[in-house]
Amino acid sequence: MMPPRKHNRGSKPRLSDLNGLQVCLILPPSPETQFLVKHLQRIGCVPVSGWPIPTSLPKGIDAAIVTVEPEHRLQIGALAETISEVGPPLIALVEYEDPSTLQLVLEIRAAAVIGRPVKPFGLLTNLMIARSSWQQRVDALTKQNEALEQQLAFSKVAVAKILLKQQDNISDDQAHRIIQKRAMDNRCSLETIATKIMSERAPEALLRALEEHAKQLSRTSTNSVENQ
Amino acid sequence: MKPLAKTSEGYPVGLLFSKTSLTATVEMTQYQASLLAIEEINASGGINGIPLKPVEQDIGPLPADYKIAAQHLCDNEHVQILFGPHMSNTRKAVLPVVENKNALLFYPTMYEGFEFSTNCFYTGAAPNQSSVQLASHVVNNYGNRILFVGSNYIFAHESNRIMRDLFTQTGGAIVDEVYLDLDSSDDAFEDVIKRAVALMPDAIYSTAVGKDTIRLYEAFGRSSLLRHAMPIVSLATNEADIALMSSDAAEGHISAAPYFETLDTEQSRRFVTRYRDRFGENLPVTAGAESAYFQVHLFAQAARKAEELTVETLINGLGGTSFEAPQGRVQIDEDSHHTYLWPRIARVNSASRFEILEQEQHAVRPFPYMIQHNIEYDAAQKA
Repeated sequence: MMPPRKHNRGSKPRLSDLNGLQVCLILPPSPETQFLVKHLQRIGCVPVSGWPIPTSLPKGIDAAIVTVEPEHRLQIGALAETISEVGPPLIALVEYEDPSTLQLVLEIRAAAVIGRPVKPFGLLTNLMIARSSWQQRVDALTKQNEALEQQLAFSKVAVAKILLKQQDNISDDQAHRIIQKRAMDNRCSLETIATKIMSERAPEALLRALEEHAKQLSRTSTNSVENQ
Repeated sequence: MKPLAKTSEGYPVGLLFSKTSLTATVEMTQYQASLLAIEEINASGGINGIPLKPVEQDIGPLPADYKIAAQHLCDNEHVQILFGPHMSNTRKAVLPVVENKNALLFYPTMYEGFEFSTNCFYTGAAPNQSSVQLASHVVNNYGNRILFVGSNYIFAHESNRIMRDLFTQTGGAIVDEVYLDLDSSDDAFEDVIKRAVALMPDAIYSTAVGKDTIRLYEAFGRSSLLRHAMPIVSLATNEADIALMSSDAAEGHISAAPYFETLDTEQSRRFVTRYRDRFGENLPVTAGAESAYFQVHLFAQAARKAEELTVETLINGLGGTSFEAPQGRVQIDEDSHHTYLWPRIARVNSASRFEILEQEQHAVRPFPYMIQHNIEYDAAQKA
């Protein structure tokens, strides 16, 4: 999983993001590939060779341009499988527009498409679009994860409150204030205190069950992001 | 709009066929058929008094070689009209040059469809003019358990996609799908035939082209499959391929194409006779050659009618142009730049000649962007 580029997290994509971008070229050596290398350098990107088709993308890659032809279907498909939802975006380089090629473009989840023969015009636009839709994906996933963390944190506090209420026979409000006070005294979050209260008062089996439940929630939520 | 380039010898027209490629034998028939049409046109007064001057280049076997040739013809020989080539990868190599020079390409070969260029006209069969007819013939006569064998390139993958659709629509199954490198060894084809012996499909659908075709059919001919009613069926296997096979290897196999040299009509007989009078007795004549032949005539007709002869007026004039071709009357579809053709099915007999078994009663309209083909639907369309 690639961390989002730190200078642009959650913000609108900027053209300047393209500067210094490491672009992996999964293309056989040819005058066309040479041409792409030159043009990427011209627009400020750093081309990185990716031939023969690697089994996984080299480290530190921001985007990849990949040849999409039925001859290489298996290797390209296998490579695309190794790239996570927030991995670098793939830009498909295609020569034919028949359904078997289009199917392959869909299967590798290409973020943009460039047609052969390659022209200087359009490359910049497609890199931008690919990076931007990737950024949107990363942002959506980050937001989803944050919401999930909050929800889990909240539910830990809720469980701690129930324990306090039932075991000490106090009101919901009182339980909440106890947690709040301990958090302030110890300069830590409500969640940390709630976790502590739970380990002090609940049997281990219940804690494990809650942990497992949280994991399941997080899995469902990640899947729902991937299915979007 | 510049008038079409002309030299002291007439309008130069380029021929893009290779003598050394994987498919050189069928390309030779297309080359000669183009020449025959050019000579006929010149004998009847050329383009309003100005003859066509065929210009050619020695072309190597690779797509890049065709591109270099096209570039040379346009840059140094004043060529704006080009006829050829054969395989899809060579057409893709040539097309950017044609578009860039604002030239006009006439492509005389059956292919996988999904292409349009303002600067190109397609006179071979689109998948809806060949695949559907072949699939229904196979299902009706042999069955629908099919083994796919082909060369690992665009035509094979897309053609197999269409065929898989068609055979599964009838409840059939693709028992395996084998892709070999272009220009594979005899051993590779032996292995494919072993696979066929193990799986015993109802038919083998081949997308092999050129020399690979000969190797596949010969491997079949040496095997125990010869005793079974299991044909190799193909859209590409033609008279030039059959001529290079032993009759054991060739007999019983099925091809679909808009034209076979055995077609017994007056236009067809006249075409074959002229071809052989000009280039040699007993030479094979192919569907590719027939397209190469009539497309030059279609060009000449549009050129003769144009008030001002430019690439643009030609493009406009070619839409709807029709010609009494050896296969029947053909017509260019203005929207798609493809051609109305007459799909036929034929079987190779013991004398290594194609016997025509089925043919459409009308020219079939080309639909090069058809994604989902349908056997029943097409049968209804015929009626």
